[in-house]
Amino acid sequence: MIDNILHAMTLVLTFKVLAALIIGVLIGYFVGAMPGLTSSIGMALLIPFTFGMSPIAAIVMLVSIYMASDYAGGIPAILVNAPGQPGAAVTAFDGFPMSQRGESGLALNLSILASGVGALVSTVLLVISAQIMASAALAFGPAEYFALAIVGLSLIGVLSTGSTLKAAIGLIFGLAVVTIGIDPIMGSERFVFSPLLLDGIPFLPALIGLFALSEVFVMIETANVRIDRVPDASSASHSLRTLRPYWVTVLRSSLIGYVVGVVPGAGASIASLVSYGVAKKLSANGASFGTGNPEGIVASEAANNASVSGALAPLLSLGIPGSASAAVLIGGLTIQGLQPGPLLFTNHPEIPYSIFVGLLVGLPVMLAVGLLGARLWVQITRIPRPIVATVVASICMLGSYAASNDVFDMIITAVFGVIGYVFRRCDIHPAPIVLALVLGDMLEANLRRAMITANDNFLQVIAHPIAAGLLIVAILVPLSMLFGRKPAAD
Amino acid sequence: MSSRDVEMDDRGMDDDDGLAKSIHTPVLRVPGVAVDMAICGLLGAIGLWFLIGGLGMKGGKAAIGPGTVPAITGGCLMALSALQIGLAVLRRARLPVVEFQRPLWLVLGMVLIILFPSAVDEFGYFPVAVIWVPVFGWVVGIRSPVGLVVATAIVLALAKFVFEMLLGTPLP
Repeated sequence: MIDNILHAMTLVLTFKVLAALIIGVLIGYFVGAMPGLTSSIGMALLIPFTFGMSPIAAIVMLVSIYMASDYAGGIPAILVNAPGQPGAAVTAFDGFPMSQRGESGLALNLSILASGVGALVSTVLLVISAQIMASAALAFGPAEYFALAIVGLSLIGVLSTGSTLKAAIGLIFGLAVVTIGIDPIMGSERFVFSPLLLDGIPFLPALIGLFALSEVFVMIETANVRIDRVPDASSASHSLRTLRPYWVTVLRSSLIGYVVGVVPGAGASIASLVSYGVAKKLSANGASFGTGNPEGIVASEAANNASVSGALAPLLSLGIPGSASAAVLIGGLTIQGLQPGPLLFTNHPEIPYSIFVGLLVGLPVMLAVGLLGARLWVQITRIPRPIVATVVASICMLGSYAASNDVFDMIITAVFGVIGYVFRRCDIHPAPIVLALVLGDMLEANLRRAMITANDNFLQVIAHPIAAGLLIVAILVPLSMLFGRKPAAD
Repeated sequence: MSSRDVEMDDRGMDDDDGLAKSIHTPVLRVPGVAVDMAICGLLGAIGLWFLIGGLGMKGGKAAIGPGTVPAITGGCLMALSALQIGLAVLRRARLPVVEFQRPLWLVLGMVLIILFPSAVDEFGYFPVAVIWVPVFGWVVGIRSPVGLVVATAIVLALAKFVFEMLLGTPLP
């Protein structure tokens, strides 16, 4: 492991990769600070720009966008009560009241430092756990991968915010869409009503449509929303001492964020909600949470950012994305010819280890950009939304075309943009659909391979101990969640 | 759905606790049950299409053939959509009233997006973009000529310098 990390350092600490990292951080801050643009949208929009880059520079840039946008989401949440990211909504509970009391500097400082500690702790946990998970997964065969896909899908359906039934509908819709094209085992055509669909629905254009273009339609609706004034944040103190009274909360929240992030479908919103709830329960000043308690900001931001590394663990080691943004990262990996999963550690160890090193090297960059530029980043919220929507719509179209230099991909983006918008208005979020697009192929291909190996005896497929254990988890966890309390929506 | 089900109004200044404000936004209000029925009805029909299509596929000797997964997903999609419609009708799990703000501009924006690929295919990217971007910008809500020029310039510069020159993507 040490050798791999040292080798990755020589690859990451080059001019091109560091430049990609810094550009990624700056774009991430822009995306994170702009309400309406999320990390998944930013990454989906930027993937086409990574075509000509080396795999390491491309992946480090995308991961930097992911991490930095989660950092930046707290800035407008604190200053103008407009969370830049869904996960930062909890930060606004205490951040905005503090800002109204004239303590925006302290709130921003705590938010960025807690984010930094959360990211550091979770990156260390990622480095330790991802390799172990990948090594264990090397023993997996088709039966185990089929069961793993079922676990991922069942957890996504249950843990997604909003209605469980509608998340399940989105999930099944995604699984149905994946079956369009040539079938993976026998090569039969399925629902191919145009020769252009022989290769199936292209993932990247569908992704750009579902996440980014659908958001453009939301922006058309909210074109008249504007931010009138931005509180002064110039008094922000940059001392680590401000975080000292909350060390226990920071560490506990980082751990919660990482663990919640690992679970497919949970994501930053649930991580920050769970962490905030635990902190409120355990704090001596729990009653003051929601009225401007600094501990609330710390709990939310540390968990929010720790969930990013958490979501990368199952993605890199098992090929299962822990969040919508991690699913988008799969798009970035696949266009570089890389397949996430245990073999990534064997065949291309430089990729996961470069991501680890990139996260660690990017940390001081993100802290510096956040602490020194808080006032600048919050001004981004004042950029007229219609201009952002127009440019984003155009990049969506350009980006989907660039995926394979085919106008058909633009059509797919346009169609999935409309589908994504309509589904959002019906409370069906695009995240389960995208995660199903990722896991659908894995599920069907491995089930059918396992059945062929087992002479079409399904009982023999599920007789594999690991597969059986995973399928039991896939049944029990959703049942326990359904009968327990479901986390609140974003 | 009666004419009373769908309402339009002009919403005035709205302060949402924070500092974000919206001004004079026309709103189309549609009952949540109607939205649920329309979307889930459509999804149910797609499910039926996958179910029938999947069952009609030849599977050879394998227990799980090419049509099995589409048929299962289609069946599940139908069942879940029907369940959602049932719950919405029985008022057990229905959306609140769904508000579409700036509905006419929204539909116009969707039409422009859908038409864009065909126009690019027919006339080429740059001639279409020079006209399409300001028109789309107007639809989205840019009202100042400077804003329209800035948005168009950003898009054309991105296309020319980043996509064509830097990434080497030949635009149609």
